[in-house]
Amino acid sequence: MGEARVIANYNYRYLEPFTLVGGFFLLASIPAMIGSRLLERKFGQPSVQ
Amino acid sequence: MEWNWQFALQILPDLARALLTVEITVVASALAICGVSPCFSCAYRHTGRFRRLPIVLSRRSGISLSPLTTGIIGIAVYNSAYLSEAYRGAVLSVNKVQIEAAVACNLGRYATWRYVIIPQALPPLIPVLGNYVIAMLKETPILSAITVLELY
Repeated sequence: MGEARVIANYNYRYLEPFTLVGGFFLLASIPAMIGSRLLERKFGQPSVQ
Repeated sequence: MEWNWQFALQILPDLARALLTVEITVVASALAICGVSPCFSCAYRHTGRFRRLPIVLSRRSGISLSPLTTGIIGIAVYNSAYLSEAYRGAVLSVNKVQIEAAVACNLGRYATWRYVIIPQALPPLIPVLGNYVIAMLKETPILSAITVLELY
């Protein structure tokens, strides 16, 4: 299983590992979203005003 | 259960070790966007087969590769089946008159694709590609089913 699940099962604490993983996924998806928005602005169709 | 900051800080280095998730996402996205999706767009018959497959089964290929490689290929192939439809839609959105004009200008098949179809098909495709990259990032926890020790 994943690293967070291993840590959670080992320490019998589930709140912290899974919350941190959730935060990580949020932090990782925000740059992807910003990158996508920048690419769209540079190469994409002009937006309707 | 109360939040324990000390424990959270203690496990942070262990979680940081498992940043394999980002690596999997980057490689699988590159593979899906550049390699497999265009192939699927050409082999339209196989697209439906992979779209009907549950995502967990796409990791069980039966070929002896390392779990990480199998996982990356699985994610790439699974998402490529969906991405190829986006590619097809983008190409179909190019006005047919443009292609007829390219033929009338005596452009070859390659030149038509390179200078007429792809430049017009790419802009509407970019937001869709962004969505799929984020979707791939969120699908990586499924790799824990085949013993890839990633983040979740």
